[in-house]
Amino acid sequence: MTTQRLRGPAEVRALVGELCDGIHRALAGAPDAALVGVRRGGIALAGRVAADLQARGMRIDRGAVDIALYRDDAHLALPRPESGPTEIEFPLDGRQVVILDDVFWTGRTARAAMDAVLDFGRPQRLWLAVLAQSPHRELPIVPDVAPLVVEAARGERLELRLVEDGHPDDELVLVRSLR
Amino acid sequence: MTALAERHLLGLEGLSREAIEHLLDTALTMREVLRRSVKKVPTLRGKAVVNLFFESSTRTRMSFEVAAKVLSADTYSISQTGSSVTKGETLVDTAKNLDAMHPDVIVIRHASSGAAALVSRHTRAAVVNAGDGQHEHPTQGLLDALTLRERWGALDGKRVTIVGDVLHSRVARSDAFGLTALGARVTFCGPPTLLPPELASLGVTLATSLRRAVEGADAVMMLRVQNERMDGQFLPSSREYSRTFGLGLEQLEWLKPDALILHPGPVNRGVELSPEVADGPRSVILPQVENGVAVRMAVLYLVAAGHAEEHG
Amino acid sequence: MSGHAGLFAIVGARVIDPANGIDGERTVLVRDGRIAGVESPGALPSFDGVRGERIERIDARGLWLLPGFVDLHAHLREPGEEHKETIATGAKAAVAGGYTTIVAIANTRPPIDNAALVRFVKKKGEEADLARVLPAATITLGQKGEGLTELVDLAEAGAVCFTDDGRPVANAGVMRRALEYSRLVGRPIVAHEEDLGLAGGSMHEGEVSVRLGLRGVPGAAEEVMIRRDLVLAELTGAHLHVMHVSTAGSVRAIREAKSRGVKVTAEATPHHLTLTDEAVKGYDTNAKMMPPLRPEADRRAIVEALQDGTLDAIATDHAPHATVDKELEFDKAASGIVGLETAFALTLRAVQRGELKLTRAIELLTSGPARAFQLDAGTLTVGAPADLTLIDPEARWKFDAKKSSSKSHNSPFDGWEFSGRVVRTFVGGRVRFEL
Repeated sequence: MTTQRLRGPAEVRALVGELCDGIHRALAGAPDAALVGVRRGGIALAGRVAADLQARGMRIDRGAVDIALYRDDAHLALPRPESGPTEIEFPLDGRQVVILDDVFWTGRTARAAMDAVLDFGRPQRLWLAVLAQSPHRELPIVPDVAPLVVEAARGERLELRLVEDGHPDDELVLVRSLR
Repeated sequence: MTALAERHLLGLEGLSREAIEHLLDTALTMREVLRRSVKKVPTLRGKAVVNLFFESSTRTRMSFEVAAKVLSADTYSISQTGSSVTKGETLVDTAKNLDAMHPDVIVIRHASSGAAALVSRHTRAAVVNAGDGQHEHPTQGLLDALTLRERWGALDGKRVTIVGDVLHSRVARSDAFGLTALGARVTFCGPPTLLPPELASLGVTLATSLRRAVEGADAVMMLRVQNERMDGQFLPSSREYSRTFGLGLEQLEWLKPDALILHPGPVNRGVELSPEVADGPRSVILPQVENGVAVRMAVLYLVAAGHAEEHG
Repeated sequence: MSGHAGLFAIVGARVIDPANGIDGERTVLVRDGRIAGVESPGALPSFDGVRGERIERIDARGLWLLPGFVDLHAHLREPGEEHKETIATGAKAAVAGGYTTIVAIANTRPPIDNAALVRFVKKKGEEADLARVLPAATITLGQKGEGLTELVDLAEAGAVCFTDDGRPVANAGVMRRALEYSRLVGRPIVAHEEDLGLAGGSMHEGEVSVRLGLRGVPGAAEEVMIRRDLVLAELTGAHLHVMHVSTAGSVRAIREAKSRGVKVTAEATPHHLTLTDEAVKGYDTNAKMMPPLRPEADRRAIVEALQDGTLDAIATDHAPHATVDKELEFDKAASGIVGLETAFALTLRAVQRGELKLTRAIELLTSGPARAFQLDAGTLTVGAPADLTLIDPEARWKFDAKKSSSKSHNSPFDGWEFSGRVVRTFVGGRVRFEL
């Protein structure tokens, strides 16, 4: 397995800024929106985005969703649930809700996250925001906000590493598994 | 990584601490689902779970059924009455015939020790032991562990005393294996007729004095005593048992103020537990029931499919 | 394969005949179905003066030549449960295991409790014409533990011993009378020792049973009955034979009684010599037998008692059961295993492990049991029936229960690898088994 740094700390900060701008634009006029991070990659990111949006004067609820129980590959193999459960301790009905993940890849995680969130209520509008995406879509789903597009091959994946998750620096890396 | 070294859950004996902790962690995720207003996730959609109950058991069976349904599995229930079991079909025949219908999981409750192991040798389905004779009741052991871990954070060094007919109790065995694996020190307490010295080989301390066994305990699990034991064979009478091994308000004074009271249910009120104690503030009997569903969801989830990491 | 015309010599084999203190290369001459001579190598002429014929020679270099084995305890299931075994299939398994004489235990359906049934068993054995089948008869009518059978009539019909095996004689008074009355016929009362008040479990009561949640039978269930019957044997002066001894406490009781001159003999099974209750882990019903497999300390006591003479014989307790009787929940499965085809291999295994001395081990399969029941078998004494077993001591083989000659395949030793194998069995000078 080899890793290649695509973006360093300053660039990641800039990308998060663009992400927040994008979400802010999308939510323009919404009095109280909700932000749901996808475990695990979207959790720390959601913390930063929520802080940024609150600094811009928005009221925002923040939650987390674990998608393990919603994956579509149970007939093949089930993943172990990630380190925490789904936490959405506020109503979703009639609200603007943003699902936030670090990376958009095939769309399957996004699909599962949408199903999971919709089990908790009926938002007025559901958004999908990611820091980066790569065009390997397997489902007809496109993120609403995605400041960075990365050309990556099959067998490669993007990883956002943030200091909140114990990494030494913020960085976006490309991980290549050796076959 | 996999929590279960084998694809079945036949007992807690031999499971590592890591495996048990993983099961309990998974159960917490499941419990969150259980508490939602929409109690349904699509995880086991298209999976068939057969509940094969040869002993009547309202609560365990219901608990497994709820667990399977919340995970969107299709459930089928076969009970002793109305099945070919009463027509003299052997358990192995039943297992082979069920197997031909491609179930993914068989949950079995049976009066004979080793019945779950026997079925597991004759089916491709994952087998979950829901209580086999006097052997093990692993999901009960897990739910007790979850209930205690939640209250205490960790079980290390905690003293848990299990009182009653431990000789004939599958709950006592699974608790002993599960709780000691998590670092607790377990004491079995009961009359000598139900407490053969060989039980100490399970890694537990044996005691015939209720007072000494519960003094200093952090939790006390009161087992139900079957009426058939109290017919003069093992115990002279239920009255004498209750006087000697029952937990009432008076005996409660012997316990540490924060000690918890558990019971695998259903409670024989007035025999092993007085109603005041069963319904009292230290009782965690109802949390046990909720955790039972969560644990069974976790078990079904973990046995129902292959090992995720192998598939990437 | 039985082409020898009543006159042949087996040459080059290591002959082990414990009854006559022989262990070395000998030539064994067989004439008309009986042992006619046991000679030093090279001492045999090529021409037999008695019959005036040339002596055919069978080259047995590299093999052991032993007296045919004697089993005091085989359940042949006929009449009544022919789907499990018949006298013919049991006798076939016997010769495949090197046995030339087997005692057919009487707990058939119906039990062997009258002379006609004794003659039936005898006749079936003769028709099979394999191992010699000696009938046992029950002690009590219908094996019910109440009224005595006609011991004199039964003995005259051919019963070699009396036993209610499968069940104990629960009533001490009945046992006393049986022992007393048996003195009329000079045949042993053979006891299945189990106190029913202490029994009822499906394995040994101990650490393994509490772990598996199986109801146990304590060693005491056997020991209290053995002690009762030893007292009664002493009271009556009759010959008591104790079947399938399985605990250290039983061994102590028998040893003590023998030292005081009580007329008692006793046997143990190959499985109690080999396995412990650990074999039950995993709920393998082929590890379910009565008496149950015991812990290692008991197993060692059995080994010691076999070696020091406290126990007189290794007896198979060959107990065939159909798959439907065994492939069940452990507590519901039938007790017992087939044993005729693995007994020698397991006994030799104990020798190879240094637990038994070779000549003693052979004695326990031959003259030991023969003496216990006063049978004309188990030796190579001149004039004795030419019942012989040839062993290849170097042969490595794997026991495949499915391929056994018995009708049933319930063995915990399926797939076990052994070294030392029965290659030919002679009964009355005729080859009745050849590998």
